[in-house]
Amino acid sequence: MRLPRYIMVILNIYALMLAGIMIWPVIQMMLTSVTSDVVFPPRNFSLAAFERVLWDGFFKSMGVSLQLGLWSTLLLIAICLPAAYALERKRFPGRSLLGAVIFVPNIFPSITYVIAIGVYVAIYFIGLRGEFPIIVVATAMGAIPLVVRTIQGSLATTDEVYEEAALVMGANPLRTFFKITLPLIAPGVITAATIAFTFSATNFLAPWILGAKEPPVAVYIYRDVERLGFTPQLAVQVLVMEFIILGIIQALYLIFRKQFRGVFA
Amino acid sequence: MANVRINELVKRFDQVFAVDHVSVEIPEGSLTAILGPSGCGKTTLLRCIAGLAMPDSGQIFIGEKDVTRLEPFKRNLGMVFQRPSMFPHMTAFENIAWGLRLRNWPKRDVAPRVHEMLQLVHLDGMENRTARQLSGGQAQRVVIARALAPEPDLLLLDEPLSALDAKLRDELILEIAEIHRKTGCTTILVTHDQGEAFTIADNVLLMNAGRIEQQGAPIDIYQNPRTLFSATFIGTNNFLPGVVLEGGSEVVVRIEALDIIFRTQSSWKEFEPGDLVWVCMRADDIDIISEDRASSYRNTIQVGVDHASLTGGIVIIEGRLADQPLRIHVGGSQRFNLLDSAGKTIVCGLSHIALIPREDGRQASNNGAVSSLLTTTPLERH
Repeated sequence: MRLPRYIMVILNIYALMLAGIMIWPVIQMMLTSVTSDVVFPPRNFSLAAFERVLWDGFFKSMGVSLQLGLWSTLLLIAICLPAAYALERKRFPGRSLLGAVIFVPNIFPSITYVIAIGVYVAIYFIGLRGEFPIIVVATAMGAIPLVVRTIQGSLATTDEVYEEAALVMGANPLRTFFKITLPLIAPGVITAATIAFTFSATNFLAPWILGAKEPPVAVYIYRDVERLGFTPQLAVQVLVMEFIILGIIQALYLIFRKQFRGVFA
Repeated sequence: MANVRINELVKRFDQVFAVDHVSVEIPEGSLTAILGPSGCGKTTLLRCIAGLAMPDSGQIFIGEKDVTRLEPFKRNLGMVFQRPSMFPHMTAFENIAWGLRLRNWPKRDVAPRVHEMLQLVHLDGMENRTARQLSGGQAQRVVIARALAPEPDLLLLDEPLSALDAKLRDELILEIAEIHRKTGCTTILVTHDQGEAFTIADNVLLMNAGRIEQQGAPIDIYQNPRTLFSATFIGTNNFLPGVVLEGGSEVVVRIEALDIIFRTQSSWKEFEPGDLVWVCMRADDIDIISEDRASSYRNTIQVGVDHASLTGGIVIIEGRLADQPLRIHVGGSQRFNLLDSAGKTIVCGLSHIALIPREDGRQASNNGAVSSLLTTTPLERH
């Protein structure tokens, strides 16, 4: 159905407006960081905000975030890869129950879910509250549904026939998984890992509610807001955080680009 | 190379019997086709032999070994699937080599064997290509090579040509026959295509609704169907309900509705007087003859012609035997003479009649004709 030209133009403008609204906060932040000002259009150019940031504290919390991201991602892949495989490839009693339960963290509002974890920790692990391992586990739990879904999606679109062929050829299930299945679902697993990393490194709720002793970057920035209100330094901190995280993701895709050969063909 | 013995095999999916107490022997070195309509259980049976499906009861023996509950990777088989199964992340060479390494072939024997197999399937020079760089037919040939490389006991093919186009199918089925001749490996081919099965198999298992209807050489099944299903699934048949008057070496059958007597031999069953039978006349085995040649046939009939149509290689005559509809295929260079025979009566000699046991009241209809041209006339009992 060919639409009249003016409608196409209106739709284009509408789409651009939507895109603009969504990207606006990022643009405003970038402007604020180099103007030390929060109004638009920008009034003056000033890098004062960069100097006012307490870089020591900031990079320390960035370090915590990156570690949080790393350990949480490893934990998530270790748990969700077998879970996704079992859910997608195997039939077993309780399969539909497991499939439903896995999505619980998404059904409840995140804050409720994290508070529930906090209560549980307070009762059974009273001495460990706020310790790094607890934060890692709590953060990871929130991302389980997303990671399982991503990997399961990759499995669903990979034909089972390759695994059956490998079995008949003489490969036991473990060998089949590592030599045939995993290489074929690699794009999905890597994508799931980058999603897990981004989610975990920038997570706010779990570390904040559970009182992380070593605050990751999102909590650190929030505490700044609590102390000082909205200042231009915030923009600088958020932008630096994003650049570092995105840089790591890009590096991952660069390292693993061979696995994505043919995916975008 | 080994034979296969299956004993009372049962495989259920919920309440449905996919394989319903199947007992059969597949001879060593044969090219056996498991033939049947969709849903008859042939793929399930093959997967039980492969170990990809576990039967509910019964036994499967490959050679002397009871493999019924054995995992597929311990069975030493080669399998080709309906869907493309060449590993996409490996080259043709790696696909075949991996199978050899899995079976612990000595390193120095791997490369020569891979090249030998690629030559067998006419793909030498293509060893560094991946599935993306090969056509569907070439990829299937790699899979065949991969299956045969480790010298398996059996080669299993699950409708290997379904995903390919028609011309490729014709080529590849003959290649499979050639490979079977060269390797001598016991081969089991599952297909719904009667032409495929009859072209290359020396042993056919005809399956229907989880059971084996008939087993034998293609010509045996063709000429001597033992059930209504066998007679209707293969080719085109005409059926007349009859009663046996005399049994013995020459069976005499009377068609009551038409008051005609037929005489024939029954090679597989002793019929008794009073037995109810279907008299089966294949459309291709009804010869149009002139009056003076009638005496050289044991059975002749007069057929009134309604239509004669040309399909190219054969002429199809739709006619009547008294008021019973009849279908005749005429080949040969004289067939064109029949194109204007509508309204006339022709004399037909029946070169071969088959007898099938009949249950009272049952109707015969061709409910699965594989012939690409025709549906057989359903005949009704008066």
